[in-house]
Amino acid sequence: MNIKFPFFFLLSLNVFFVNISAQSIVTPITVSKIDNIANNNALTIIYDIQVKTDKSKTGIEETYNGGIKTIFINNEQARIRLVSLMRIQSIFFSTSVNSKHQVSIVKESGKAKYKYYLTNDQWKSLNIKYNNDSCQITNDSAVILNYPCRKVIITLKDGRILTAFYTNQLNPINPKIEPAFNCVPGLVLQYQYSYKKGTIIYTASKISQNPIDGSIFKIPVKGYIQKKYGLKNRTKETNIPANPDID
Amino acid sequence: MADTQIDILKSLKNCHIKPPSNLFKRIWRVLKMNKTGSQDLSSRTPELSSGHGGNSNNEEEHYPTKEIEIFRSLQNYVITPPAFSTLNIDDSITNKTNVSSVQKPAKVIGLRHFGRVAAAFLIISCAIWIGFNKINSKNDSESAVGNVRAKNVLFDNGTNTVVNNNETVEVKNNSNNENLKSISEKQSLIAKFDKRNNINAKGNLKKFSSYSTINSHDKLVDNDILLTLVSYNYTDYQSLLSEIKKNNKIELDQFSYITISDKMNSLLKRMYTTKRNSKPTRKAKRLRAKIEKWKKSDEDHFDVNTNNNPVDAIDLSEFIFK
Repeated sequence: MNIKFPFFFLLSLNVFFVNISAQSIVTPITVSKIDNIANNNALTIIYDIQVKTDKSKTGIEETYNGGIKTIFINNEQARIRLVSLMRIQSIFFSTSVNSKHQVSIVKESGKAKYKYYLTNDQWKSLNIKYNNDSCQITNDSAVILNYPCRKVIITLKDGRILTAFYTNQLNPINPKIEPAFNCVPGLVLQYQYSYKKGTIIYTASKISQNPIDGSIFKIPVKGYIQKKYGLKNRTKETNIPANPDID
Repeated sequence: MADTQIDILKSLKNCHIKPPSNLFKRIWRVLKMNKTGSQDLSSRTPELSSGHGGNSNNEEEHYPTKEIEIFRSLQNYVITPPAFSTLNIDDSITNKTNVSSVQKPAKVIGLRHFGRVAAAFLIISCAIWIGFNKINSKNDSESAVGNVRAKNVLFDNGTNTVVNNNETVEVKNNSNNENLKSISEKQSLIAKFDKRNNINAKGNLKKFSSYSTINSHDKLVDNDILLTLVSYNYTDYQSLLSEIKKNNKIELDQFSYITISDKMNSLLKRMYTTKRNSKPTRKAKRLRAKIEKWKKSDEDHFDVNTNNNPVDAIDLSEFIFK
């Protein structure tokens, strides 16, 4: 009896703590707008790009029609990658203290592949148009990838309007990565922007919360011309080796 | 060998064989009978073959004396052969024997060598064949491995390894048929890309001159999809076109694919139209130039001016719809 009591006591304690830890995993993280990419521990979201236009003739817009935009987020690192017929371009983000560059823009396609680095301030100034944007959540709803979504109209201070559908069931992407959705209280699964006779629509086609290999966040080193942000055609490296490598 | 023949000749020289006693008489009688023609050969033969009969005395009576004398003189007639002749004969015989004695061993030696040479040739040829086969199979396996690597890795190394790893992770995590199917489809499509690129390389397209088959990074022309699509041979594009039409998608890696819109597909199709001499039509050339113009315009907008961001929806749409 003396032996059995502590055994059952420890067993019950163990079951209790296991339950608590399981609950803490399952419970969704509350939405927070901290300046850290780690809103999502690991997230991969692919948006299909669709271009609609009234023009009868085929124009340059068709080279982006059918492309994709992929967002990779893994703790302190993130990457947005645009893949289209016309170009492949990535933006790397890092909040790590050891990281040299907070934001890196890398053009991966074309004869002259290049990259340039931005500070957080430069990145903010590049996206200044999204500062102080306002969100108007409507009653319109949609289901995208089995997530119930609500429509939100994002109005920029200069009057330009973005329309988006977001879900509350997933954490929003950090505004540093997606400054356009600064005011949206969930993860945007579809958004569109109309300009003149055309509309560009980004629709999420795949969401994954599987861990992402760290090498996807490594910025390529060799084979890329290093440009300076804000300076036209000024290059640091001129010789491009045949096989670009990653540091 | 020569000595034995000389001995035989010597023994032949001293050889004496006495004919049967009444042989001459019988030959004579046959000859005489032939002369008269009274008897045929069948009737004569028994007489020839008959033994030493007792009527020999009667037959001797028919012999003419004149002829008997001639025969007797002939019996005593001796002709000695000239000395040089025997020497010549000897020489010829010895020469023959010498020649034969030289040839025979030569033949034997030749045969022996032939056997050895043939055996050596067989062994060497077998070794070469086996070696060649091994090298071929090794090359095939290496190229296959290379192709698999190439298929998994398309873009720069950072993305490649990740895609590769993620691909395996994905397969492990969700080992369902769809994933496997998508991977296999993707690989097959990229293999087709590779195949076509090789064909293009044969066609001496300058754009493909910098291709390295080892580095998968170069599977796309400058890692540029549009440039790759417009760099196909005019004849090769039809198969790609049908492929695009069928799948409506070009998958590049796990996270990257491109859907070719109907408008773009039809534009590319028009760009690959050819004349009877399989050269591009004027319209096709114009379309190609148009695409190049788009390319330049895009570079001017996003590459020269770093304040424009193609990843941003507003920046992009304001450029493409302007």
